[in-house]
Amino acid sequence: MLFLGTTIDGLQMGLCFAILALGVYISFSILDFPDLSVDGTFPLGGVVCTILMLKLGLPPLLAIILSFAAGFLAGTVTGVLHVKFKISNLLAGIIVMTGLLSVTLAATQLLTKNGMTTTIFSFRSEKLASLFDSSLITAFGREGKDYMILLVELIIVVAFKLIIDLFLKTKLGYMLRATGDNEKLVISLGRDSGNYKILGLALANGFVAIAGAVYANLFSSYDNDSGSGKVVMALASVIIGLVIFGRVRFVKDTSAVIIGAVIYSLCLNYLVLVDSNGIYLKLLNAVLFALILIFNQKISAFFNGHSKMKKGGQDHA
Amino acid sequence: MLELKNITKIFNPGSVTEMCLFENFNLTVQEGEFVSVVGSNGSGKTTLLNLICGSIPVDEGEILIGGKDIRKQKEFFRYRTIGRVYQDPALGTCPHMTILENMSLADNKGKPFGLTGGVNRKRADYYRDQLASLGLGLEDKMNVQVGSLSGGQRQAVSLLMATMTPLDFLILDEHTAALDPRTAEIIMELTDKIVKEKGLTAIMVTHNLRYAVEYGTRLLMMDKGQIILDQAGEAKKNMKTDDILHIFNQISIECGN
Repeated sequence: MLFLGTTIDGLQMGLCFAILALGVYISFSILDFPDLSVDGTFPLGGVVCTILMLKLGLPPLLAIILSFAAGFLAGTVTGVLHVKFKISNLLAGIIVMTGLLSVTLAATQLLTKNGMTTTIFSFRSEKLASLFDSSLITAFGREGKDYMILLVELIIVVAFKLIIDLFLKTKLGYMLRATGDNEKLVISLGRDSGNYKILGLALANGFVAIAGAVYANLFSSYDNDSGSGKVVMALASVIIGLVIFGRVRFVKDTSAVIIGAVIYSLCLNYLVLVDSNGIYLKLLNAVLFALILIFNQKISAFFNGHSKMKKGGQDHA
Repeated sequence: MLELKNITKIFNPGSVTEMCLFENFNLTVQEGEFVSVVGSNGSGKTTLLNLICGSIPVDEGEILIGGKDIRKQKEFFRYRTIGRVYQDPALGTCPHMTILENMSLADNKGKPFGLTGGVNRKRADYYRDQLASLGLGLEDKMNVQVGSLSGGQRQAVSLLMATMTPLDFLILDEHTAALDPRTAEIIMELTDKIVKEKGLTAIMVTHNLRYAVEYGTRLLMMDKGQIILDQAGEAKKNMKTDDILHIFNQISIECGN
């Protein structure tokens, strides 16, 4: 039963981090921009959402959507630092990430209480809630609430996935892809590629902030340390997803990224079974990431030698 | 009409490696001219193109297109009426996007890139016809990623994309240099066909003296930032590759190459 419980925890976290991974997919895969500001925008989304819910009493869904704006703004700063002031992509991310540490800390001071009574995952309707309390579901040893959380998360993730898929099919989406693929071409088309970079980073961090907001909802409280290690986590998710499923026809990159996030999160949760105190968690996290990168090269080499079928992803490690 | 007036360009000013490439450089290109530019390495051919496109700034002088000074315009802005094909076939297309997507991007140049569908299906037949006219069988590969095409095929697509919308100028920056001789020949013939069909004004930098003689309506030879040979009209038509090879050898000997 411990194993099953861990699996469900892993799935809950995984779907939450899938939103994070979708954001990082935009900056890392589409724009080819290793954006480190993610470590700052994830808790930013969390704290903004928590303040909106606890101080202003906004409904959870609205608070989550509004936290997108906070991430969007932070991403814009990273973009402007890089594009307009010519700061290298890694440093621009580090600057914003560091700055946001203080911003989120200051914002935390606004919170007189932490801990939400209602979250996006709580239902007022008894009928809906009872759907998940059937003996069939609880037979697996978990409360119905846990399965309901999974369902709600799944709906949110699929909604964002569809939005991103649709967006990437528009002319604007094409330009974003072109900016990451071949910046010279965007300039040749008479457009300022820098603006598309800024927009892409803003959108990416907007999604990251939403992930942070959902994360705060998941734990019913805001955690100021929730941001650390999120870049690694998100990159690992994106790379796992694209390496394993990026080549499969009919699986879109966005779906692959979501599955990647779930797989990675499950792996991390099983690691906790071994390391119950969580002391070595970050180290294991890093080692896992390194292993993924090493395998990614091997798998890419294998596929490039044996198959002509290509899809985005193999170049990104 | 393109006019370069009294252009001065100094690289690394104020340092020991300071080099004055252009000093009081003048060039006028009339509408409808197809100018081939030849010259040894370092003679200023590519710098000339970069100055026109705004990839590097001019130090002094004026660049006029249709009588309007474009020095203040940023690079991307100038490309709204300039098409450019680079030496590297990878620079003219997006490798991770399909031919159809690439063509759609190029087709939309000059229009807003908003939240409407990226591919206009109604135009797909037009793209297919355009690709078929290349004679490379690309019309059956519309949904193939450009990155999996050969260099020659990519360059052909780049050429189509660069000339898809109305242009003031077509800039060809040694666009056949990275291709094998046979493919280079095909691309060169395509270029000539497109320039003639669309009545484009084109400037082509090339290292292939034969192309410079056979194609185009005007030939320039450059050396150390100066035009040392400028032939147009009948004089250009009567030129032989051997004639300019002779002149080319002379300047090369002076340089010690």
